[in-house]
Amino acid sequence: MKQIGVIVLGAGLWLFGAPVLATDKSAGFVSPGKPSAPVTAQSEPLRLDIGERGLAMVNLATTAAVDQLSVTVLPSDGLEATSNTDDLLSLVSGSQLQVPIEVRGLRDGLWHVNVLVTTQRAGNTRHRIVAVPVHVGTGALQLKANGLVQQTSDGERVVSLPAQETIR
Amino acid sequence: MKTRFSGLVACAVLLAACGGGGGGGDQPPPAPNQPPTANAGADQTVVENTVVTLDGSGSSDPNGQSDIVSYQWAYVSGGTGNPGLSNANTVQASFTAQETPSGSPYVFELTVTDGDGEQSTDQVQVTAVDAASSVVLSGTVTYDGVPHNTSTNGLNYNAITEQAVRGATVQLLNASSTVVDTTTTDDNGDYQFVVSPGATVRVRVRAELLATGAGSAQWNTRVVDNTSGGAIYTLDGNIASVGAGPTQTRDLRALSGWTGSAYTQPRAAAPFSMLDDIYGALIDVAAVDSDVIFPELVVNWSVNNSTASGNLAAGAIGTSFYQRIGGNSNIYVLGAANSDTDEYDGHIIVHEWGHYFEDRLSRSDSIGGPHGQGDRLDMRVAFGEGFGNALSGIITDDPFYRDSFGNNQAQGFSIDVESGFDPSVGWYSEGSVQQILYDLYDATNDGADQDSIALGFGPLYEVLTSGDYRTNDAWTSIFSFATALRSAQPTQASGIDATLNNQNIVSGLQLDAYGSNETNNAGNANDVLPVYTVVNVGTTSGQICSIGTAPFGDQNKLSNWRFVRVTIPAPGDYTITVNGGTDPDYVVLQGGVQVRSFGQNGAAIGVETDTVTLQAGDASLAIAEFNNIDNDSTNNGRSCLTVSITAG
Repeated sequence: MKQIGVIVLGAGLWLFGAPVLATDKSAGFVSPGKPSAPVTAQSEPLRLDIGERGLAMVNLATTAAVDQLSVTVLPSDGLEATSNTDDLLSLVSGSQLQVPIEVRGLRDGLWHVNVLVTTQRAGNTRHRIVAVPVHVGTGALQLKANGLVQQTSDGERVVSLPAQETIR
Repeated sequence: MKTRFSGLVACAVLLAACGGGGGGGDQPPPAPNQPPTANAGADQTVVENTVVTLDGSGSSDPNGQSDIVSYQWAYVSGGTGNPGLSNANTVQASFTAQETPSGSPYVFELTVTDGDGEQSTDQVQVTAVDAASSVVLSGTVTYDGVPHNTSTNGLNYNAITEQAVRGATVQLLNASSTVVDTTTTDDNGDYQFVVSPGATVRVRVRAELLATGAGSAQWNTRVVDNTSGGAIYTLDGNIASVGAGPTQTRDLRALSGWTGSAYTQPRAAAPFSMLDDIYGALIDVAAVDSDVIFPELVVNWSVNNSTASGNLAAGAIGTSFYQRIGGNSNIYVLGAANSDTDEYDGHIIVHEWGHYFEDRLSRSDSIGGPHGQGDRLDMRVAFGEGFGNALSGIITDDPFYRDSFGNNQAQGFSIDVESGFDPSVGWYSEGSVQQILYDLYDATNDGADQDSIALGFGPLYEVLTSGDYRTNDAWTSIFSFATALRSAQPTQASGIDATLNNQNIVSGLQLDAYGSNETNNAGNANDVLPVYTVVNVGTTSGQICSIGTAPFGDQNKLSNWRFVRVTIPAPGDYTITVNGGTDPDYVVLQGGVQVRSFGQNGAAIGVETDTVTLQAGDASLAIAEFNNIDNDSTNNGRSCLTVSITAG
């Protein structure tokens, strides 16, 4: 079994799982979110030219013991991304590891490498997904549309979604 | 007009059933009977000379539907007088409606009675309009419900079902897109308007639950697109003529947008699926508190909402979560396909709604942050997250919490909130908290967890919203909740104790809001117990150690924060100093209010001191080394602090 190197995490990383920078004391506490795998994940954004290859690093740390941990890279728009990490077994709480992901920028924009971390303990599965930002070219964010944004006669903004309508 | 009243009519002769009986024996007494809830159906508008059906099948009873033993309909007022009801003593009655005078609809009342003689009433109005000058435009609004594959816990698009959009605002727009009428869908998704023959209109359904009537439950929840400036989602029909009448039906369906292998069409069902999950929570709470007032809640969902962290307006929300900024309550929900979407993960929606409930109607001292299976958490986080998990099972009536994700949303995991395995067992475990709360609620005696108690939701709600719980001087935890519940439900004490014992948590007469007699140290003999260190005014404590990454993790895990209890002898100013480490921090709580909040002194000088005005009585502190709670995994370690409190 291939082992992933254990590293000491660096400072100044992007935070995962909470929208508030915990290093900013004035921000107070972070927000309560949904249950997940007992893993914290941190990464740094990556910048690439179109067609350029690079390495995105995801730093993981377990917060409870797990029987098995696996990492899967999910396909994402505008990028090619692969990781050749194997499953890790019997990690104790506090294990730290670094997952390198090979990334190639295909199209201009701000894209994400979605890294799915799956843990198992006594046959129970949990997951956590971390999205690593990858700026390709200009790195401009391109939001997807879902429905048509309109403004009503009284000035309210609505997203109009079409109904399947039956009239009889 | 809808009026609803539940009342106890038989307690004088049924003391035991109403909770007035004594105990005795080793088995806890059965849970007290709970009254039924009558539901006379939605108000109706019909064309004159129509045979109208009054439908009471929406009535319910917490003890089971079969506990309702009778239905009785009665004419109350209005119309052209008593029209005479057929089958008035059955769940469905009927009559022929004559045109009703303006402002005087028929009013009927339904009374339901359960096996213990407890009754509930509800009224419904019926308006009958002139057939020659009116068109009744009606229809049903539905959305695609996407269930989970119970084997993979991923979404199963092959099993989509059409679900009613309940309680949503429906608008009638004219050809100029001006709103000319507004109504609300009923529990079947049905709506009605009366319009002039030949009118050209569009039906618009807002992703909004709005109930503002005085004297009944009130709420204001909407689903918006946080990546489109907070625009509210609407489901829009076509602009078309209603014809000559007397009726026209327009059914609107919000489709999932899934076309076999991907989302290629607008994902119209998503906002309404989440809205319906929340509607279920609202009506369940309203069933035990008929005049509850929910503060405004905004659910932020977008197809751009991803697990990246950063700019919420750009969809970088990190995970699904609840947040209140100032007075505004928000839930953010993931929506990025082929990564992690949560709009059909109803347990997650209710879990986050549970955080909103705690924050706005109950109390939460949770500091938030990530939490996973086996984590040994800060007790405040453990209680909040365990409550969210349990509530998701309670509201959905399904103890299997499911979270889908991955390519085509085809993967997932589940948590059995009733009896699922969690390697972390104790007062610091969300798994323990969720099992305790669900077992206190449910009627299933599954044996494995010594579940001998079935309180239902009402008693849990009463404690969570009680003044004693909300203003308690201890931080929110399983200790503070269980102590309040045990006090409120003395006849159920043995059952409550059994659920605590089963999770290796102190119980019985040893239980108090501070966990004073807790002996479960999570395998760490030095830095977990006591749960609260008692410090007297005028003294300095011994060393109380905040620990970082190992063995529990940082930020919101067990013993990152430590707790202190102090008894204030008289009202006045007190100087509180925490010494040690590189950057000590502390928060002060009294009467359920944080009288000194986090981060007031950010300087890393090895000491944090401040003067705080306190009342006589107990107060609680949470103290920590900042490096152990900053979520950057650096400079963590074991920092031992001392606390001193002096008057003045």
